[in-house]
Amino acid sequence: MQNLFQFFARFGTTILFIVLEITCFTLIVRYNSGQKEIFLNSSGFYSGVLLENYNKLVRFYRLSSVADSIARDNARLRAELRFATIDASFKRDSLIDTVYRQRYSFISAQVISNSVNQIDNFITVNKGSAYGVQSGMGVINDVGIVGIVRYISRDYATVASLLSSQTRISASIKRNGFFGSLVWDNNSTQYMHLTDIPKHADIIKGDSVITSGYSSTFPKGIYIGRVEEVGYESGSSFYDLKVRLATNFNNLSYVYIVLDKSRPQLDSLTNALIH
Amino acid sequence: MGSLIVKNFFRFLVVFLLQAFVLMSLTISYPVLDNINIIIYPIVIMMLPLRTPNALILLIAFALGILLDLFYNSPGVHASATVLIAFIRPFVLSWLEPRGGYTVESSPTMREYGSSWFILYASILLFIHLFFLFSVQAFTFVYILEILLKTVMSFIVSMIFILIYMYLFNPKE
Repeated sequence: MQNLFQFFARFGTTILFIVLEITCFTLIVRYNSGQKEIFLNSSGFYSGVLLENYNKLVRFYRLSSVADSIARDNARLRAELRFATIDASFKRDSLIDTVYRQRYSFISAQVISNSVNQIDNFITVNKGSAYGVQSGMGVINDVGIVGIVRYISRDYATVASLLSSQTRISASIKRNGFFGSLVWDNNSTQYMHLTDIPKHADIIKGDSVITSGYSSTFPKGIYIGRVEEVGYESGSSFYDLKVRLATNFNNLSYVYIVLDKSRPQLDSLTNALIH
Repeated sequence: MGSLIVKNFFRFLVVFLLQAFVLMSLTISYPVLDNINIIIYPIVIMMLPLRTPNALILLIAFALGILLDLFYNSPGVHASATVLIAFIRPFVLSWLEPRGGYTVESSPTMREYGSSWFILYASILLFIHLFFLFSVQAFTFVYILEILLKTVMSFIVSMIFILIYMYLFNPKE
């Protein structure tokens, strides 16, 4: 018994150290595999409420720039109202019936927490399942795209930012329609790389990059950014394009969550293909 | 004795709030100096009184790390780095022991042991903290060059912030 006490007096700190580090690494690994993440991330209740109150305080100081961004957004929406619709026109004999049916609707949300300097960055917004937000929905703001909803609680949602090592967004070149995937190289908050575009495509510096609309996450044609550097993947037949993002991740405050009304239909079609 | 605990608890609170609400969202974006983290919270661990039991330092470090992880969305990452520097703090202290030895009742501060001693002490702990933190964040050494660059850049900026803190408050304990 006495030996046991002596042992603890001598190595107690080291044992505690090892126990704590094992606890930490268990958390890290669990987090990386995505399990039980919701429990500890900032959509969790307490830090969510705290951050929201803090944001109420800070928002006051940002009012003028927020007002600007809302005004710009309104102008853009007015000009582009038709992009949120499906062209349902059809031709029967000589009768042309032109109808646009609503396909996408948008939920506006406030960013209450944001990170840009991790390897996988997350954004927390103040709209959750109570507002119809579901995991997998796209998130955009007034100038570009922001990310994809990953986890939801009742009142909050955690959005995986574009600035994440796991991001793959289907994007295309506006001028000629070639499409590829947009990835992040952990390097800068302003640039991403557009890969998988074959070399025979004609790409020049300054080409606009837009969403391709090949998934139900983002509507087609939302502006992402501009080609800043035309590079080549060594030893392959694909371009490696450096894209300057339109979205500034350092000062996000208002975002829109994209609700796709066609999504259940598209999902069931995809499922039918798999089975 | 009582005031010592109150002071350290107060510092824990202030530094934690500063880190979670101000420094976390402060990022420095230059083309070259991208992705810099400003990390000052290790000073809570650095400045605990010299006679704090080692086990208690570890527990304080774990609590501080986990609390910050809630805000950084990274369960365990900051906690593991903070626990590590809490563990090596006694070794660094005995290695840097001044010729006359330490005063038992004191804390390892700039006022007590001079600025060059403190800068060396803080640098060692901060550098290890940042390097470990970014390595755990990446979870692989494939990005070793990026990790080192990020460590050095963040180290310089964080150290400036820590020194500003020290000169502003110049605490005795």
